[in-house]
Amino acid sequence: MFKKKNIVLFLVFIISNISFSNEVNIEVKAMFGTENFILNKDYITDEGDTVLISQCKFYLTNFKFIYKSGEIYTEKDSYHLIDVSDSTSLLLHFDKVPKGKLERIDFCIGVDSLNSVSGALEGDLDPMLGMYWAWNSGYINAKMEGVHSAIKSPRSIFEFHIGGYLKPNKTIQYVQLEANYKIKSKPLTINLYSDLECWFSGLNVKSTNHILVPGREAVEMSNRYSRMFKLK
Amino acid sequence: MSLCSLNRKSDRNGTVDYIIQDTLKFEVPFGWPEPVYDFEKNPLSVSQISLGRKLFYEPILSRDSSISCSSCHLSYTNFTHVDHALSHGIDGKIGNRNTLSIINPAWQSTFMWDGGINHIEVQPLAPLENAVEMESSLLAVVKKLSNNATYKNDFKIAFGSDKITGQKVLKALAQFMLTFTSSNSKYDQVMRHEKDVIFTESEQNGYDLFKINCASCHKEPLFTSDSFENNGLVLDTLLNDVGRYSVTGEKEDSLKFRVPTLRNIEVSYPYMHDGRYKNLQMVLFHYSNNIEDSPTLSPHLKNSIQLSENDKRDLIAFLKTLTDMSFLRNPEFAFPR
Repeated sequence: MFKKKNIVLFLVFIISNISFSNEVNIEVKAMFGTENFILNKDYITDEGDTVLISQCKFYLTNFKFIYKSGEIYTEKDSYHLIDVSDSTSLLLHFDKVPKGKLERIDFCIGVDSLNSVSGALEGDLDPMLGMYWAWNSGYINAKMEGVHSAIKSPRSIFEFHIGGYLKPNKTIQYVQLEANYKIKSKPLTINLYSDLECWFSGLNVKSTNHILVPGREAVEMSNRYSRMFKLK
Repeated sequence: MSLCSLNRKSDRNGTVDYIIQDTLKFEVPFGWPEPVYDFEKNPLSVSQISLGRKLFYEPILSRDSSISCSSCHLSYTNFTHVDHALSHGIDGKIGNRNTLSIINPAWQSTFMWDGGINHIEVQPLAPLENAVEMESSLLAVVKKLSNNATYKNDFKIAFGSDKITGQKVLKALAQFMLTFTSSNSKYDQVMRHEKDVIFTESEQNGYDLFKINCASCHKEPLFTSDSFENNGLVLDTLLNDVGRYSVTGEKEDSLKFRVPTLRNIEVSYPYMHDGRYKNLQMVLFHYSNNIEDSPTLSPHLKNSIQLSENDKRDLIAFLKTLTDMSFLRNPEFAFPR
């Protein structure tokens, strides 16, 4: 009798714990149009230009899972630096996510203004990661560098360091993606596709190939890349 | 578990709560406003200050290990670079601005002549990355320090872990700089009514003139309003420095520069953002004779300042009472032995 009760209690304990340690993994998958993106590889645009991207980093922050029930799960200390050259940074892991039917996943591209005025921060927000301006304090929300055949200058280089947190030059972007997933006890992996070709959509790269300060061009570029995400 | 979140967790373990017995209270001089820096969130720690001091004097922070912070910020001269209008950095390259003093930074809300830095903890990034100053990067500094067993131990004592991060380097430097409080000049002693300390007649005249003509921007007790003004300097067409406009892009900020403190001004020549005035006589000549009008000229300078030669002499006598030898000669600020 003693043994049976303990076994039952043990099983209840295990089962109740399993149901709360729900994992969601979001895998960022970089694309260029419909092709898988590989760093330092040539891609052809619709206009017939050749683009090579040598560096692409951006912050994804403030993740929120919105459920059909109206419940909202907000990730604590939600700051992720995605570096396309670092595969470990492409896997976002969320622990103890509530069970239920998801409706939407919300996040920001960029770091909120409060953190841009709070001095030296840690982890993915550490200024040594190359995403913090030395001369005009604040985060670089997204960075892309490479070579584009339409650019005339000697080495056809483009450099987009997109930052700015003060009006009217705020470049933080808010993304809301429809997400019809069921979160159960089994870990769930969701692919987050980011189409880097979006950075160039409608861009006159001949005239605009260096954006290194806050301003109108940075805001416009942030609007472009805000459209790069899709879930599957 | 993804490596991504593992890294973050171990970083957080690295920044352990400060060791309680190591904490130092930040002293606010009597009658002074509260500091801008949040000491509640980031209390001073003896071991962090000590590490910051070591880093301040450490030339390996520069690309070729030749330039340290102290190369331009000398403690004996108000943490600035005297006798240089524009400072020279790595490979002898010349910058485009005069080195600012580092004094009472806990009360500053912005840093640099153009206010481009909004927090003392991220100020070191500017000279560190500048190609004509130290020409390095925070990442390179972290790598160099991480290869040094002594530094790893210093970081372990100061932060509880020998894993060195950019944040910790910056926080240590900030901690050292935050201790640079200067409040013991003759002026301060007079204001505190200390025994046998009174202004001479000339100094008192100078103080009275100061309060009428200068105090609107150089507010007591910090002797700066911590804001940006155009003080009527003619644009140097070679340097073409438009000041705060280059940071904000706002027309009203054209030709505005930060109001520097006048504390220890006697020892921090030459003067102005490009060091164009070698001595205080030239500065006063500027204010009484040479103000260049422009749309952004400070409203405090719209009416000309009338100063006789005697007035100027007395003003300078007063400004010399702002010299604080206990600050300038403090062995805690000098090269660590």
